[in-house]
Amino acid sequence: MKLIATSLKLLPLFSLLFMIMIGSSWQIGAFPLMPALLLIPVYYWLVYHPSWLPLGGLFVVGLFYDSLMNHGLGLTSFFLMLSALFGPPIRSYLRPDKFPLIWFGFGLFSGGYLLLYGLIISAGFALFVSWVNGIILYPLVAWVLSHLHGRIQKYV
Amino acid sequence: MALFQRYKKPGPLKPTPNPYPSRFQFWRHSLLASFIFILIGGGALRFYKPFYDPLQDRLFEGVAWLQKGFLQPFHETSALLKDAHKFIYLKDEHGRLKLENENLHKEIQVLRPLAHENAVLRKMLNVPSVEVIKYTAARVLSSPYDGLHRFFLIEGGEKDDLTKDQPVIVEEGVVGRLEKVGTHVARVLLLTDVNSRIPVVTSLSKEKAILSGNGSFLPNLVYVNDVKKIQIGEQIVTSGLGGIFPPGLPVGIVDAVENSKIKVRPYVPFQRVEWVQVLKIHPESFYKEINTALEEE
Repeated sequence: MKLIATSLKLLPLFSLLFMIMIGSSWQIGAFPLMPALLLIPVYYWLVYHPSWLPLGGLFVVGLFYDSLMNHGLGLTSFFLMLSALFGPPIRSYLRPDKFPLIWFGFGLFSGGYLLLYGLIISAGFALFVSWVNGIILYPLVAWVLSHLHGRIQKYV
Repeated sequence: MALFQRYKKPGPLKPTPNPYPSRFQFWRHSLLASFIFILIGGGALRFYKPFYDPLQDRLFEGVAWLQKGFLQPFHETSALLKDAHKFIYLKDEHGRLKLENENLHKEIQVLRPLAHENAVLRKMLNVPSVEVIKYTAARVLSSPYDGLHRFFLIEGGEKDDLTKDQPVIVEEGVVGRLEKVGTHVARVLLLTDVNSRIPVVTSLSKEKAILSGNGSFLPNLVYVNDVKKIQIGEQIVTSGLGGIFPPGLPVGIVDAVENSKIKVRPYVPFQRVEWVQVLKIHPESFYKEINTALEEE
C-alpha cells in the first residue's frame, strides 16, 4: 500500500514530463508552447502541494528538458529548483479559492521565469508568445491538474 | 469558485511541537540546504568532462526514445486518417496519377536524347562525371522549439549509417545538417537555428556568403563582399565550400535588405515537413583531406 501511495506521489512529476512531451511536439501556429507550458504544472503543484515536487525530482525533470531542447545540461534544473525555492514565500500571498489571483500569480511567475530564461539564452519575441500561450492555456491545464490532484489526495 | 474544491477554511491556529528534534533534522528538511547541495554536486559533475559527455549522449538517446514511444500512437492515428482519406478519393487520385504518368513518359522521351548527347559531349570534352549522391529517407518524429533552438528529431541513427554533419534536405531545398546521431534517433540542426552556418552563393550577383541562423524564420546572410549587389528575390544556393553541403542545393530567396542586413526566406516549409532525406556524404574524409593538405603545407 505504501508503494502505491509513493507511486501516486510521483504523478505530479510525471505531469511535468507529460507537458514537456506535449509542448515539444506541438506548436500554436509557428510559435512555441515551451517553456511556458511546462511552467503551468510546476506552478500548480508549487502552490497546492509543494511537497509533491521534491528538488531532486525537479532536477531530473530539468535534465530531461535540457536534453530534449539541446541546452547545456543543468540550466533548466537550476531554474526549476530556484522556482521551488521561491515557491513557499510567494505561496503565503495566494488564496486557493480566488482563481483570478492564482491566475495572475501564474502570469507573474511565468513572466519572471521567462524573462530570466530569455536573458540567459538570448531569445526574444518567441518567448513572449510562449508566455501569452501559457497564460491562455493555464485555466484548462489547471482544471485537468485539479482533478488529478483530487484523485491522488483521495488515495494518499 | 467550484474549480478548486479541495480548499478548506483554516481552523484556529494551534501550537505545534517542534518538528525538528535535532539540528541535522532541520537541515535535512531545509529547502535551501538541499538546493545548495544539489547545485554544488551537479555543478561539479557538469565540469567533469569524462562524466558529462557520456551522460549527455545517454540522456539524448533515452529522451529521444521516450519521445518516439510517446508520439508513436499519434503518428499511427494520423497515418490511418490519411489512408482513409486517400481511400475515399482513390478514383480521383488514380486519374491524376495516370495523367502525371503520361506527362512524365513524354518528358522522358524528350530528355533521353539530351542525356545521351550530354554524355557524349562530356566524354569528348573530358569533363569528370557527376557523382550521384545516395540518400536515406527518415521520418520526422518531432520538432521541438522553445524560442531559441529549433531542430527536428528524426527516426534514424547509427544503425542506418548516419553520421554527424550529413546534409538534410527535402524536395524544396536544404533543411539543415545532422547535429547529433544516436543509435536509433538523430537530431537535425535546422538552418534557422542560432548555431547554424551554411556557406552559400547568390544566383545572380554570384556573391559568396554565409547563411547564419538567428532563431527567427528569416536567417541572415553575413560576410557578403558587396551588399549593394544583392537583389531582393534573388535565389540562394549552397556554394559547396566547407565540405558538408554539395554545391547548388536551393536554400531560399532574398526577402529583404535593410541597413546592410540581408534576410533570407527559406524554401522549406518547416511546419509541414514530415519526411526528410539525409545525403550520404561523409564530411570526415573532407576534413581529413584538408588537414593533410595543411600539414603538408
